[in-house]
Amino acid sequence: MTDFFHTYFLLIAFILYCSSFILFCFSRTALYRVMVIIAVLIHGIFLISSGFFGGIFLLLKVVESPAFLPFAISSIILFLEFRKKDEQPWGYGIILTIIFVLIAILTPRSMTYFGPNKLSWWAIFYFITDFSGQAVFFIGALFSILFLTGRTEKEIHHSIIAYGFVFHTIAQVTGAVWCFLGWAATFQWVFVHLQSAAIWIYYANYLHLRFLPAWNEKRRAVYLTAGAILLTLFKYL
Amino acid sequence: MKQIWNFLKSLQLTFWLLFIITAMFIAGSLYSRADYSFFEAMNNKPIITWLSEIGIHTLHKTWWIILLFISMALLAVNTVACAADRLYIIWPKRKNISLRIFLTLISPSIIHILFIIVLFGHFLTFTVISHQRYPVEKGTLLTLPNNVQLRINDITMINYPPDSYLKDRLMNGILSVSEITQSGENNYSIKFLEPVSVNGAYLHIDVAKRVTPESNTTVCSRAEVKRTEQVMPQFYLLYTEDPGLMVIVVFLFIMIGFLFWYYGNTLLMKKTLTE
Repeated sequence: MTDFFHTYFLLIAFILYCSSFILFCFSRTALYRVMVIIAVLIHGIFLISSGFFGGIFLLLKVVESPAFLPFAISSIILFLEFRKKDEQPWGYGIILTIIFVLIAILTPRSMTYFGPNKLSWWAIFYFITDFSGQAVFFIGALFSILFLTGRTEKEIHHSIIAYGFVFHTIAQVTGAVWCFLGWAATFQWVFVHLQSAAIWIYYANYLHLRFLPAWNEKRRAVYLTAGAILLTLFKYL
Repeated sequence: MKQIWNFLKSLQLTFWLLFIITAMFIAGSLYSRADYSFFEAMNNKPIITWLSEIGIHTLHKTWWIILLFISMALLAVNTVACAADRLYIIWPKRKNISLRIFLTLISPSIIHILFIIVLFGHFLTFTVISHQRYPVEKGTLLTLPNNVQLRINDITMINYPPDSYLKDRLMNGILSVSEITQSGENNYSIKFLEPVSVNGAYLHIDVAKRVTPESNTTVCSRAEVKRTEQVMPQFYLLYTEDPGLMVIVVFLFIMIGFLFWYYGNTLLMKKTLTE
């Protein structure tokens, strides 16, 4: 049964995300929102099914799945849709979900299991907060591109990125605790930790740019777009 | 003097230092990806020892570490100067504003100072860490660097459930050890992800495949380790004395607390202003 969910549900979610984006483009807001909710639910079922592995359920398998990032993106988009009083074109964020779901579909199913130092709640918290941070950084970058192209008027990406930074900071803390419990060090000189530190410092720098007169709204938006490129290079190359 | 102070507290300097640090971390990640085991060896030695023994002779791939440390030191000075300058401006205003607004205003400065303390914790770790890795079997006797004498009483291996496909894979393990003292013995159980603290040092359990390419090297993924009738893994006891650890963990958590306090209050203040 779980194999059935695993084979088809992400594909169904992908089709629904594409449909919802088309509806968003045609300003059918109510229908678009309903479609996103259904897509997120189906996407969630897919993720739970991916936790069943080798006859047991591993929550870590759910949160480290490549399909977790687009799930985090669409959940955040939904949250923004229903929370924000001022109407913003949050639906553009579904483009990111579509791209990352497509990558997840094309990625072969991981057949590795977890060694004893990975079976920790700290690891689960780490992946959730890290992916949430990445999701927010990607959404922020997309809205900075929309700002640069004149599709949004306000600099809404700034407040989004601030939350991404909080998520990423929490990920650094949970990751440090997990690393100490599993490997006896809070930081190791290995590329994963160095990349994580690079991302944290990069976005910490962004938060300071507002106080530098030379860095106007447009230049800051370019900086954010470059951040998303850096994140993509680290994650997919 | 004032010019030097203005330079040290300037945000322009912050920007360039953070930019250089990001670039150094990116360079480091590329070098580490290209030669994983070379840089992984840094984790087991104080950085000064590693740099003087290995790093200095391989500057073509370690130059970024030196630049990183210099930039970090300058960033620490810059951050302290910025925070001090901000506090100097805000402090006299405390009587004219509510305590909550005052605390919200000084939160960024406190977060910056906490960041410097965490950085200092990492510096302590990198410079004075003592790390040893001992292969262990049942009955092994060890004298640790902090003069604690240990005996490995038993090694218990716990596999994934027998009805799963992962039944021959290791899920956890327990090292039953005794600390031998003049007055008797203290018994400890060391499990994966549950280290124990003995006499100021942490003891972890680790595992690797029996046959490794070189002696005393780790494997990147412990998931490779199998435990079946034919293949028994090699267990290790990790000894770590790290004075920076508590500084890093405690102050990171305090920093997160302040981040929540700051953003929560900023949101509330914005909401109040809007209403």
